Amino acid sequence: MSDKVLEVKNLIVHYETDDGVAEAVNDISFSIGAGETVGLVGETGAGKTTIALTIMGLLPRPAGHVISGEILLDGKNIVETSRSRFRQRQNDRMMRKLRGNDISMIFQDPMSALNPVLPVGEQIAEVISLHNKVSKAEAVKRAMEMMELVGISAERYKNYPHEFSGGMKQRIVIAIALACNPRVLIADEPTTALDVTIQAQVLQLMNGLKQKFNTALLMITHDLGVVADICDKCGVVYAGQMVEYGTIEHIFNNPSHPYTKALFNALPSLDKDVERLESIPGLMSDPMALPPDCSFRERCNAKCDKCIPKDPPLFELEPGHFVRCYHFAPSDWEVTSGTAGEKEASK
Amino acid sequence: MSEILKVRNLKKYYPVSSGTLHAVDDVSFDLNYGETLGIVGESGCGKSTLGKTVLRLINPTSGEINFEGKDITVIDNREFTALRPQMQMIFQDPMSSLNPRMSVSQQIAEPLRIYKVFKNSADLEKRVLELMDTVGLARRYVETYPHELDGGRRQRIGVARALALNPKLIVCDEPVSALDVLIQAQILNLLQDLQKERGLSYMFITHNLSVVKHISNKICVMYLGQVIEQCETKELFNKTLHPYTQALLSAIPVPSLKNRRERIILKGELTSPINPKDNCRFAPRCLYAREECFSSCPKLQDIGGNHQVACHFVKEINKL
Amino acid sequence: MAKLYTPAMAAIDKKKARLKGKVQKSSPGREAWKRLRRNKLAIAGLVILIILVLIAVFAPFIAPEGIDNQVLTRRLQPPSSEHIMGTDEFGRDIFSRIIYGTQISFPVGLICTVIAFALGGVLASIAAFKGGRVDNVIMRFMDIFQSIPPLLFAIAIAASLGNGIVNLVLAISLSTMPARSRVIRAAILTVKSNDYIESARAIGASSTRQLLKYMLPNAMGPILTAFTFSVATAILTVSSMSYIGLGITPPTPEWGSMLSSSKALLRTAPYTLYFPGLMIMITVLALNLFGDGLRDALDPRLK
Repeated sequence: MSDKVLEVKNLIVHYETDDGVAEAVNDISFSIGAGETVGLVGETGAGKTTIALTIMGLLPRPAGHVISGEILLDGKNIVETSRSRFRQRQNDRMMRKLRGNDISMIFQDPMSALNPVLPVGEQIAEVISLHNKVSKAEAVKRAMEMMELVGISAERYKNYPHEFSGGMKQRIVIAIALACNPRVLIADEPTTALDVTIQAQVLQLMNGLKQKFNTALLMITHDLGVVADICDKCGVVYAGQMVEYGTIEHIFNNPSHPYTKALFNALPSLDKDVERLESIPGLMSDPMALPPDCSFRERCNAKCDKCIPKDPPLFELEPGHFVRCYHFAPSDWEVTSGTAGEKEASK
Repeated sequence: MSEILKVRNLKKYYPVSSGTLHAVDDVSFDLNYGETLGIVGESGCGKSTLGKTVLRLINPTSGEINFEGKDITVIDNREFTALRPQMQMIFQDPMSSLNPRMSVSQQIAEPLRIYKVFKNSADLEKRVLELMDTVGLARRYVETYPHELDGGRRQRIGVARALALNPKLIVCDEPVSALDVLIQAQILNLLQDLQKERGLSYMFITHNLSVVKHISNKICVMYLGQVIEQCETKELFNKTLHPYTQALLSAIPVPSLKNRRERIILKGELTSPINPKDNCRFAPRCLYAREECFSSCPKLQDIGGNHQVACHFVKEINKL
Repeated sequence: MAKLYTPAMAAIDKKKARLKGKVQKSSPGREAWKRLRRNKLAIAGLVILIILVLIAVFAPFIAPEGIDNQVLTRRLQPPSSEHIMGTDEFGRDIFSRIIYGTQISFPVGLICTVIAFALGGVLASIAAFKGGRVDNVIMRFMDIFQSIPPLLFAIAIAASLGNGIVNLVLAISLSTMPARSRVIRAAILTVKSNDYIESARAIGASSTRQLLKYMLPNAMGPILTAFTFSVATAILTVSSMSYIGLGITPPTPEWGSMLSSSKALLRTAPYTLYFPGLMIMITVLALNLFGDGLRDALDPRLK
């Protein structure tokens, strides 16, 4: 067994609707080790949340389909690409056992993630007794410990969600997610709905808990600042593809893909004074009508005759730093060799 | 006269079941012609209420709002209707602030129709297309509906609508918070270009300090209905004085691995602005709070360079 | 290094440029119609309704006989090739009466509902828009109205003003009005909290304009759905009233009154009951199917 807790390999996910097929995730690969944090950044509609839902086995049916790829949890594949109802139901049953126990997820809106008619303490205890054979008293005791751990007094065990503020609710959601000490925690924009001062508290808490429990954390966000704060590695997602992937030093000190550069340039900075923000025109390609070539080419300000009408593979710029752009093609790379030059980011 | 807007001691209280909610409590500020005033604060600090009160979408409890020297809180409705075209608003969520049953051209024509600016429809149509060009909306979208457009284009409709009547003042209530960074940059650039071309004045309400730093000339920092620090933008970022502003600034995640800031993590969360006592409203979360902070409310005081701070111990804390 | 595929690249760019010029245009109404079309049951309901309307319009051409063609020599004949639905106790052709019945039940139900919605709509709009005390007074008034059972209320009106179509319509409209105004008020209140109402105020729209151009069009979804269901209820009420003898009286071929006059024949000639009953059922079912489909199609969760 490897030290990689979660490994996503060449994942392709489509939504099949009456209006056509939306290619939401196109060939995403990455891996997370224990105690490691990987960030996924990108715009709305880039496919970040679909990746998270696929890992959780919560793709909306019947539209969502995993076309191909593997998701390995401790080396064991947990994704079902077959369309057979039987196989899917089997997979669902397995995922139900894993969810909450081995993989947990924190959603953006803490209010809709909590049951409004159940005291918060009981919601934590419920998860514990669902996945562990423990007595009621033991579950309550552990739920209270979890509450203290996320900075909420155990005396508030009997309080209902509406008695807590947004930041406190998100702490409870975190407590529920971590109650069974999962191997993998997926956080989908966990602080977007919170104010900055509260965001700082929650991020600090998550960082501390991650180290304490040695959890593999997948952080999905649109905020590069949050990535710089708590991630070890980072992937930039554009139109369902990883356009750049590397350690945060690679991404922040040497952003290479034109899209990543554009993201950095468009941010108003606190340290520098700029008259005008740099922005690129256009929109992300419609996932229902992806172009056959590089999906960013139309908006790209660095396109040149190296760009050929084929989807670019990931090129390794420096060890561990991958870029999906023809500019970084090695000189011996042959287009006819197809994917031969491609190396998976997970390696 | 260089101020387009002068607000004095503005208050907006709401009666709620458990007492009185002080949404805006004794706020005063000036906004000069052609400049941008940033109003920053966290959710629930009253910044949106303040913006809507300035446009009289909400009637204030007390205080003065002088628009071009005229107090709009005392004039009657007819007089105010005549002033309305000069002060417009851009809303946060372009999806929910546009009527889903109106096409783009209808949305933009709406203010022109209400004020009967044009007698014949050809002129109206020409003006709508002109406005679409101004905000960078391609003419082929003229008959589309909001749900068919992306967030950036929807916000452009919002801007075009606000511009239609040639206003002098635009209140922007979180205009870019719902947008992705690349689109956010486009809209911010558009707003700046329009300001330069037309000499517009903006009241820019946001929770995002980096955005407000980029676009504003002056900044008011609000906390629970009160302004706690107010000065020129440069001054605020070079010499942050109020402990709340310092914490707010340090809490922003910086998208860079160099020059990381020392984090000040505040304890607790916003207390409630219902029946506030006469104390410093930030005191329960303040790192430097002392007895005096819990017994009297600090007034905004000028500490030189037009920099106003509401803190009893501002000089001690900052070793001034 | 990779070879250059310039001609292919140019072709792709050309195609993209072509696609770029095309903009999908579709109003919310058209989108709703698209969704409705996919719902087979709703379309079935709609088709039945259209057929019923056509029957009503072309009744004189379809019906073999008039509504009151009494031929006592052919009383109570069971369905045959000559009289496909049989004849009643006066020897009238039931099929002809059923056909002409579409001219009564459907329009009367529709008119009742229109009046109820118009009256209720005006009151509800005022209540929802003004809020506060006005809202309170209007809605408490409605509460009092609503505390009387609708059928009883209709009976009271018909009893005091006498029988006849006009009185029946009045009775049904007034008795259903409070419930309908509640639906409209709720729909407007939901829409009222939207940001676009505030943005309309910010550009200086008057109260009437806010109500007519912003609130009502957006509240139309639930109102239209409720309208369809109300027509069904009104048709049922008209029939019930006629059945107990307080509505439309013979010889007018109203289905409910046809049922009523045949009730004594339940054992001897049950077919005289089947067909009017079946027609009421089909009409109401079609309206309900269509209403259900409409509700799904007009779902406010627009993209």
